[in-house]
Amino acid sequence: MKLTSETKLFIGIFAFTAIILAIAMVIMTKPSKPIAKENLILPTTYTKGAKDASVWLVEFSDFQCPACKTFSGVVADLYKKYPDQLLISYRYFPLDKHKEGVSSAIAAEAAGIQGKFWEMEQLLFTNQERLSEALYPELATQLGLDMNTFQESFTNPKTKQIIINDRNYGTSIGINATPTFFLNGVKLNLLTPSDLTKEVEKVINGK
Amino acid sequence: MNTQQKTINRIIFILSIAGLLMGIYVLQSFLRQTGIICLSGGGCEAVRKSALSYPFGIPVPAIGVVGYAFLVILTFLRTVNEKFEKNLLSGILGMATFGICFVTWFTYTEIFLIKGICMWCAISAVNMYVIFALTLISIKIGKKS
Repeated sequence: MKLTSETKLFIGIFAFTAIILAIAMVIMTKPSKPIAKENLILPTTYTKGAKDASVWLVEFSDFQCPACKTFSGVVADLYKKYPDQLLISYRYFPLDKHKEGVSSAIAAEAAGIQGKFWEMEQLLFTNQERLSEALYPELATQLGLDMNTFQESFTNPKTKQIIINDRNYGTSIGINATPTFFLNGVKLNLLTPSDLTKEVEKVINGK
Repeated sequence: MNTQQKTINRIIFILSIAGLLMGIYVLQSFLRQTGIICLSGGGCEAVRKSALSYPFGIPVPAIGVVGYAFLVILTFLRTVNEKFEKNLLSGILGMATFGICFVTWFTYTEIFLIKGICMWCAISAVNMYVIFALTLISIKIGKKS
């Protein structure tokens, strides 16, 4: 069969595209390097579990994100199940589309200053549908926090800066959705909450 | 095919390849459950994680890949054999018509049900509309000559 110049042109375009695609696939399927622990867990980052555990999980989360609420239950279960083998830490990644994303994170940080971060985290997720500036003092009261200190921390620009710094760092490492988890520095690609349990248990049992 | 139709066929071929590449990129993200580079905020992730993006269990980008692949093949075949020119053009029109119906439905689903816009889906929707318009123009030119 004799090929016309038009057919040859089309084959050329297609071949060129196939080469570009092959190169892109090679680059994209390259496994990314794990992120160092000291970059993911800062001295100011809230953690729970075994401080010197060889398995560490970092969550970038938003209190107004429904998926984060679902995953928070899984993280709590993992903490209960592996208190001596797993270190869990929380970093803020409030999404722009969530009106209360930043404020709720500030409330958690303000509670954290008084040592009640994880308790506030649970309360914020439990009351996710009611998140508002009026709710945070109510939750702080429930936790028995000193209200003057809480209000002071809540309005302090330094508290907000911690949230913004976390979000900026998250963006710099390619996070664009919540929740995003890193297990021993490796970003997890999870389809369902139970996938998180499977991934963590795979690493814990493999050690 | 006259010169104008040849030019249009080339454009449709290139647009179909572009659509195919976008589809492959988004499909691999759906299958590997990895993040998508997205300029529309978290829209792509919201779409990827929604059950509505898997009609009958098929990831939406897979349907796009198949559709665009058909368009690539049909436009290519038009350059090989002039004998089936009209049938092939009808095939392109059929595929593009299905394409615009599909992208219209999915854009509606994104905006009103998922409440998130995936940049790649939006570009692909516009791409499909352009292909459809070019196909109609090609048919009109064919009828005149």
